[in-house]
Amino acid sequence: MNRSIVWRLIAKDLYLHRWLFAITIAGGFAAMFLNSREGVPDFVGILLLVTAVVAAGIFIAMFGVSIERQTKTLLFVLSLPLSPMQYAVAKVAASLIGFLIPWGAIGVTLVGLTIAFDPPPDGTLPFTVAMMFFFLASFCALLALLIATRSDAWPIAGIMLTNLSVAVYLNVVPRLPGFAANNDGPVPVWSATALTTIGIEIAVIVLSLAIAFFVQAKRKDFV
Amino acid sequence: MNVPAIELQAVRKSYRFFALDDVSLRLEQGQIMGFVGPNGAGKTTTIRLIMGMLGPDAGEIRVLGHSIPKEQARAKWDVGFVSDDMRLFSSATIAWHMDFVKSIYSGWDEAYAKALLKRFNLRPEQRIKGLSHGETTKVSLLLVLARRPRLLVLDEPTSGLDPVARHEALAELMDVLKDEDRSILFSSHNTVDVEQISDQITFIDRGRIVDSNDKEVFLDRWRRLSLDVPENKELHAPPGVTEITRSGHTAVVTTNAYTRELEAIYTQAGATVRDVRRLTLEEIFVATVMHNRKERGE
Repeated sequence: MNRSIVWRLIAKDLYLHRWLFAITIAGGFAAMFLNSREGVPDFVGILLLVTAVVAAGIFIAMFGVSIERQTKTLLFVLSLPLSPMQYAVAKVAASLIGFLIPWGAIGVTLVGLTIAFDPPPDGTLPFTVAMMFFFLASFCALLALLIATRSDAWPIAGIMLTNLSVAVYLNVVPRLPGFAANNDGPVPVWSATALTTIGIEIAVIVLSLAIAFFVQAKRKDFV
Repeated sequence: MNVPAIELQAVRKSYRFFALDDVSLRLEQGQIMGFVGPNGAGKTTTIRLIMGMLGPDAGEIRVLGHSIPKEQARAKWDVGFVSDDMRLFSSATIAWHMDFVKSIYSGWDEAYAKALLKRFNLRPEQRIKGLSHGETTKVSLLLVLARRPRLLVLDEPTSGLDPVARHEALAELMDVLKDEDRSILFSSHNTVDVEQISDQITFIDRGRIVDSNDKEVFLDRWRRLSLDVPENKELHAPPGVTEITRSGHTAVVTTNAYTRELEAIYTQAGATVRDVRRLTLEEIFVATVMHNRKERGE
């Protein structure tokens, strides 16, 4: 595989979407700052944080894959000396790196702040980690959907599903006994529920990416 | 022996309402082939098959000796592609695009790129979103020409260009052919452009190649004869006559196999040959397509 051109395509996507990463990181830090302010209700900061990460996932996947197809810049990219599989590798890698930059920055800061300050209690750490992996899994599922499908309806369906799943996740998962019993505790408890949740999320990530590459390998038409 | 720049053998590609049927064509290195067809004829589908963007249902495609789509990555090092509906990254500048392409292709000719910028009246700091369609096409042409590929595959590259820009673009394409190993496949509705630069012409209609030959052969063998014919005299059609239209004493005969013998045949049949004229490529294109459709009963 020609690694050089794959890296150039990754660099191209990161350069073209750099403003997205900046906005997401700024949004994420603004959310954490708001959360730390007295008098500001907790839900405002959480809402802004969730919005920043989810929106970043949607925009990075949409701009990287779907918009490239719709605006016919895909023709330019596919005219370069690369195979469709190299294109998929570059696209997945660029989108993942693009998402992991704000996701990592926000996640590490969130975990660091939880450990460093009180409140929030350290007992929330397992849920915080699970929630961050959930965002990553949602992003990978959306990315796989956009790579594996070509109609304009699928991205819309994917975005709706992502938003819906976030609402369901934030309402259901923290109330699971394995999380609820330990959230207010002074030390993080990595219960079976927490580990299973994170395990499922990692499985969704791996499965999503595998499906994206499998569909691309089987596909004959790319425009 | 040189391998052909492009070779398609019995290629098929089916969609719900359209099919490329048994398409075969061959472009030798150093040649320019004009690929002409009406809207929906299959030009773009054929070109996207050649570029590996679509996979054939049957048949074989080879580009510069490489099997497509399997070896497309290797083939495309030496292929430059510009399409009327191809877009560049709107938020990036021309300079960014030039740097991007330069970072991939070692054969990038910086001096030539700068000369093209000047000739096309483009400024490197311009963003793509601020350019007109014609200017974007010029940038696309610049990006492929400056890396000096052995084969240019151009899908309607001059559509949307004003006459002056079209002239400039065609002049650059002619310049490419100074190197006799370079080849161009050039699809266009504009038969004037095709006639101006092509050595070979291929007509495609409704998914089938209807004729392919050297341009000069086309222009030499097609003629339109104007005849005076006695009122009740029947005119028969010798081989090669594609159309006879009559109006009173006057008949117009179109042939794709003109020789002086044809005039003698009609004179002996009692007609008077008033005029024999060559056809333009556009007239040849229309006559070929209509004749082919009639023969297939469409």
